[in-house]
Amino acid sequence: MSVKFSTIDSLQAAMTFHRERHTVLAGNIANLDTPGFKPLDLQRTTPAEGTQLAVTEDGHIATTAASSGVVTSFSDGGQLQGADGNAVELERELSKIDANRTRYATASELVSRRVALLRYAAGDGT
Amino acid sequence: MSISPIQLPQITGVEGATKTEPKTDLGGAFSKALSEARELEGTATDAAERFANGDKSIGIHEVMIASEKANIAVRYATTLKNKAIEAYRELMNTQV
Amino acid sequence: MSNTIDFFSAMEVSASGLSAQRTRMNVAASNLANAQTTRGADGGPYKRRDVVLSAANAPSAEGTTFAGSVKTVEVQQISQDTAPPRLEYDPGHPDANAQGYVAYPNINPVEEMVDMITASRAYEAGITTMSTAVNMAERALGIGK
Repeated sequence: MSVKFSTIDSLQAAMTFHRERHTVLAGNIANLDTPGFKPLDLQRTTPAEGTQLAVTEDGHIATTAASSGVVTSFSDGGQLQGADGNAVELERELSKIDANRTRYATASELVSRRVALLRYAAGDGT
Repeated sequence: MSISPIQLPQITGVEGATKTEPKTDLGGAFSKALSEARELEGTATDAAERFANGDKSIGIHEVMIASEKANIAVRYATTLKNKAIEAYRELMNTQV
Repeated sequence: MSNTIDFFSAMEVSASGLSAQRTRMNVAASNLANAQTTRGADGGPYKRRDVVLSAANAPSAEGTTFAGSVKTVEVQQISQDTAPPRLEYDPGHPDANAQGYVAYPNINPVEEMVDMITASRAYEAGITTMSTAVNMAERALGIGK
């Protein structure tokens, strides 16, 4: 590659992961009052650890498009919230969603800056 | 008494090493940049089309990033092209 | 097979939550309004309604590698109270039976208010979550600007 896009590619993979994670966490909010529901989450192993698959409770494994790590969904069981077996803690999920949003936004910003830098370099300083 | 020749260890290329382009090979760098630009433009167009058709495997940031990458690659190829032309002109203007 | 899920799925998930919580609010409101209804559509006292929720796999994630992890919520059914009605002795009431008892629904207004409040809270959380997804998508649109 003449132009080194590897940083952008990593950031893109991160953005994809955070978007996917948002969707899973949104499911916890939707099922805030569903009897017996246990909250889910996604985690990602970095490429360095990628060779060892994370073992999860439900064992469900998924891979991201950019393949920079293995994405696994896991049951992030919190405390039982009532007699119906629902374990979703609202505050906990909302703060996860917000933190996840921040990481997505940060990655997005870093992509923009990298793009600006590469654009400048590619244009030979113009 | 026969003397067997010393067996030199086989010298193999270093793993992962790529042939570095000689710094003065502008033409080679340009054609490489051009083909990369073409490839990235294809990816970007494909991504935009799939997105426009409602293909859910392409998200917003994928389309945006593909578009920016193509943009940068084309810019780079253009820069190299301009440099090549400039170098050629200078050469032709050199007083002998 | 696609192996990513996009914001459309997030919207579908959040929308299902909003819809389910609205149903809960409507049912709680209906129960509150009919707490004293001794003669409903079928002639007998109003029967308290309850919303039964269940999680489902989001259709938009079907076929992706996340198919089992993206959960929507759906109203499995709106059940009617099968317990016997609450009886009050009031022989002068037009709906009193031969023994002078009037059958009232088994509705505790306080419980219904609590249901309405929790549904409302969950609805708000769903709105926030949906806004977050929109916000993220807008950030992505700004790449390179």
